[in-house]
Amino acid sequence: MLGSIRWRDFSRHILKNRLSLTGLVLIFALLVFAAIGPYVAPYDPYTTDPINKLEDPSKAHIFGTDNLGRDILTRVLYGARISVTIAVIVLVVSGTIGTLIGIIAGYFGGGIDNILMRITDVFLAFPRLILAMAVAAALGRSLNNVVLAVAFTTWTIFARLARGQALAVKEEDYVEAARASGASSWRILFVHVLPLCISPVIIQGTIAMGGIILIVAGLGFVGFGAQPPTPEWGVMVSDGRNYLPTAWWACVFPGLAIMFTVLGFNLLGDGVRDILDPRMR
Amino acid sequence: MIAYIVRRLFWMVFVIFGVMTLTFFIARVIPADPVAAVLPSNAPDEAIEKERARMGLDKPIWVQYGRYINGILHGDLGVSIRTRQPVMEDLIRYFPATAELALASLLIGIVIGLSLGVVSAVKRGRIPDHAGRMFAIWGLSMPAFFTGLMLVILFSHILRWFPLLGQMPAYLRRPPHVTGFLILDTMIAGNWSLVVTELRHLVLPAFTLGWLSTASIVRITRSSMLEVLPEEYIKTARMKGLRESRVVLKHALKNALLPTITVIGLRVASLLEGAVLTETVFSWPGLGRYVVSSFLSIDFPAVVGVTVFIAFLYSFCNLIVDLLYGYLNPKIRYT
Amino acid sequence: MLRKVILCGVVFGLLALPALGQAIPKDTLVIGADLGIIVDLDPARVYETTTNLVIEQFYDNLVDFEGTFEVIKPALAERWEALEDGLTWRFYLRRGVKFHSGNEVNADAVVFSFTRALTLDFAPIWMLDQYVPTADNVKKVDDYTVDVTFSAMLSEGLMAAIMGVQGICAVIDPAVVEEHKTEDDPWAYKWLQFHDAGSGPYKLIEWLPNDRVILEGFDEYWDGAPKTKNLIFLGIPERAQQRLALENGTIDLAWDLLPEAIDEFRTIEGFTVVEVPSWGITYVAMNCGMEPFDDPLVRQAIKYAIDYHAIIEGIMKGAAVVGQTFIPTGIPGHLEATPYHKDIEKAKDLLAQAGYPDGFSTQIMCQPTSPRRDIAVQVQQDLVEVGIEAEITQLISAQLYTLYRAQSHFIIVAGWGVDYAHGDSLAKPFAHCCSTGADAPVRQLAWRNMYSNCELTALVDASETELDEAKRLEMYEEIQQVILDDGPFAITHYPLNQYAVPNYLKGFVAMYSDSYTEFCGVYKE
Repeated sequence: MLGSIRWRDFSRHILKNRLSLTGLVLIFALLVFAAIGPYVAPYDPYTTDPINKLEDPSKAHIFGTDNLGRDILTRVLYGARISVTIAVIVLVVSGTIGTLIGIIAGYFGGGIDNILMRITDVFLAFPRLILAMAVAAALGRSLNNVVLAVAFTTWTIFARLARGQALAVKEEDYVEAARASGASSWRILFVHVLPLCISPVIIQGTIAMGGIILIVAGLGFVGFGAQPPTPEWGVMVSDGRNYLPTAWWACVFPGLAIMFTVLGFNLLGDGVRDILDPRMR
Repeated sequence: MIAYIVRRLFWMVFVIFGVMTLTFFIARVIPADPVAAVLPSNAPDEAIEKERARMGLDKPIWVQYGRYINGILHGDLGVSIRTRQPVMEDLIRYFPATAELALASLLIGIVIGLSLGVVSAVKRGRIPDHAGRMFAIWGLSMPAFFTGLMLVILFSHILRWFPLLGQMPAYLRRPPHVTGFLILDTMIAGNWSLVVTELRHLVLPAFTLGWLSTASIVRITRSSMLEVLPEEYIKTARMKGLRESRVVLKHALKNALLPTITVIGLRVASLLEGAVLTETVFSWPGLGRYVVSSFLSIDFPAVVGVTVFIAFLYSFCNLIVDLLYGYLNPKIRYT
Repeated sequence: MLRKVILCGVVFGLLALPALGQAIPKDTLVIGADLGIIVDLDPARVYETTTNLVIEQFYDNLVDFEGTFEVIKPALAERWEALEDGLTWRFYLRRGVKFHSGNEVNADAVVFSFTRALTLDFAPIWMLDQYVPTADNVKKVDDYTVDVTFSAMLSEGLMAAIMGVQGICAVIDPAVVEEHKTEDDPWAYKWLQFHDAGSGPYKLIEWLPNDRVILEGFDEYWDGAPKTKNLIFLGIPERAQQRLALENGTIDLAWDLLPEAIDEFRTIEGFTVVEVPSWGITYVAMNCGMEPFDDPLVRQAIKYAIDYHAIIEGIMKGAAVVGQTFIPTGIPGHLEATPYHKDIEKAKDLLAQAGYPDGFSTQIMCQPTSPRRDIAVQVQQDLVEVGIEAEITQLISAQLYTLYRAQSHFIIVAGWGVDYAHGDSLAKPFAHCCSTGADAPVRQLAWRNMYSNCELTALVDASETELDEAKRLEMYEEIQQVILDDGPFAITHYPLNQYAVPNYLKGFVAMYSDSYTEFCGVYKE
């Protein structure tokens, strides 16, 4: 069913739904900020000025300054780019791995399927944040390791999905034909099965984006995120929380950034799920 | 049915084993020395070596793994390097507080989620529908620690409606230990004013976590209700002259509850994740904080023990939910 | 539907009503602190400052200190004297002192305590056994007199500093240990991890790990029962929560407030800010074993690049005192000299002289908490101005100190807390290093930073045995000067201990070393 989505219908449904439309707008805003952020930011995100730390939001500093005197608006803008980059890389990495594992399991079936699915179950038995924390703790604090840790926990979603696709496609006529004419299994996999997985994976990816960004923020909050002075939102919220409630801007603005970003993806994702759920039509 | 349960249990054991192995090896990859974490910066090297030997960390990795698996089979999850207590004992100490929090959160999530879901379904497409769904999705869009902090500042610091932190006021004594669960023990001791105080302390943290759960409950309730509302028997009930609210609540909702149960099972994982992020904010002496300190200090046995425990808990909850669903839904037959 | 909503509203309303009588009763003192670091209450094992603070309330030592640590107060020993051999000190114990169990505190107990600590040989023992190597050095003379023979001739100050060390030199009730010992555990360390065998002003009622420590006054305390009967340490790891809890009266004192929060309390009604120098030194250290820090010019350059003003006035926001020598203000021997300030031109010049006109790349390690992490970021930015690219690596203590001890860092932002109130406890760590290998007798800070200076090391050794106090202080000054000019440490400041004290709280005395704070004299009006 997933493979037979028509994009035009799809877009129409999304745009009609007020909630998912809002989501789309938010995501668009995020992408714009990620793209132009560094060019429109009023200050340098790294220059410290601790004498002027935690200044109130004002005309000079619209979001105020943080505990090292850096402009928060600037850092939030730079952070957009970081969040988008991380999320995209995670999706690409986990999407690739997950899809590969999934189609192999689905297509070859039998023992391989069993083993791969049991391995998937093992990964699914952990709450994602905890598994990501374990991996991040093992690898050390850095942005790269955060990406790896989160990818480590996200691939299972795509594996399940891809497996379903492979199972459905396995019995199709043209696949039978290809097999009969002597094509190798791998060729069939990559030429026939894989392309059909791309749409569902992208759609599932959209739905999963919100969760990914939250896990990254969670890792940053606990202490496994990017190293200073990188302006990653989760780390900024974690740093800023020490100065609540008086210098609330250091914590609240990065927090709102996370919130609106995830809200955007969640709203869009909700709309997508509505479309996929036959009961909604 | 029995065969199904047995099969599920078998796979659960396999999965737990895989979880243990995976966690064990993740924890051992780290190049840090957790023993050094327990001692301050000016401790001389000999002191460090003493502690290492005392902890048994100087043995080869296969030996450690073997001992660990052997231990688990005997109910021994190892000894925490940081607290020097058996991990199992630490878990038993901290689990009740998190369990209480999780249960309360689930309750709040269900109550709010069901209410909003019903409203959304009944007023489909109109403002209450959008507002309800927005509220639910909003809860899911904030990191739990952020939600917690904001709620504390608004409801505790500014409005003074609820206490700031902890399970109960500092200067009051805990009731005698019977079950380990604070509210239960307080009830058993008959101290009802303390029970009310404890419930007040529970509200903000439980709402923080509960809010996370409302989104999926709203969604599933709404879609189930939408599926059920056009059905024949609903129309019949209406024609019989029953009040709309009765129709909705008694008949439609009852049938929509079934899929909600499956969703609840999935929420357990996110409740545990949420606990990890919010217990620090509320000084809640539960498993979440234990997880954070174990991971940050790379306390191998605690990390592995807690992770295994959580995975087990999660699998167990899923099993219960599956069985419950199968039991409640006569349409499902397990072969 | 409507009924459900009403029901919820009623429940919510009931719970939301402010409960009556939420204020802490007058007979209870609640201190908010991060108790996560406490893992063990056995005095022979305790090492961290927060744990020391807790056990200070229910254990006693032979000697104690006044706030400034220059006055030695008799505690369990009412007087003492040096014997003829110069190595032995005789302690005359106070009579009629009781442990919480009711047993008497006498010479047997004192000897037992030291024997236990030295036999158990846990990590903190080095503070004692460097001068009291075995249990044989502690002898009972009669029921109320004990002799302690040190391995070197010590001044009264140094002797008291060692005997006053918290934990390892606390006096423990032998009968209680006897009662709870087992075959595998003849010194009952498993039991003492969670229980009390002391004679201090408070009794330990219960310790709930990560949650709270509950203490109750000991009425028969030799110095009088505590003014406030109940003392509770409440675990509050979230700093914002500590601040909120102090403001709204959920706690009486918050132990981990940041300078910003303290600043706010200056203007909040009902609070007074109390400030004393602490005994800490915060420094930025360079590993002389890693290029290019082996070149003293490079080290100097970095010392001139750091913005000390930004750190003290900005990051520490006044919760720090200017100081660039390793014996802090307040400890005899302190050298008042602060030659370094941010001078980018001079720094660049020195770098060029050393052969690095275009700078170089390096790495800064620090802990993930404020203010050290903030200082690291500030230093990183300062170094950028002289062309040095520094990458920051945040590590928790476990990892950080592993690397530090393994001499594998480049630049590290760290601190040093004084273990005992004498220059010797600082000269050795900061200046004693003649060989950077594993055979070195003292492997503390100078060694970790691979700063090998045999001449200076000889001076440190000499100062240790110098009995003429004036001469000794001169030696310390000389040592500090050398380290100031040539050493691997850019000492940035001495942190202050700050407290926001509610006006209803009386009798609170801030101590230089905050773990020595006593609450038995604190009461509420």
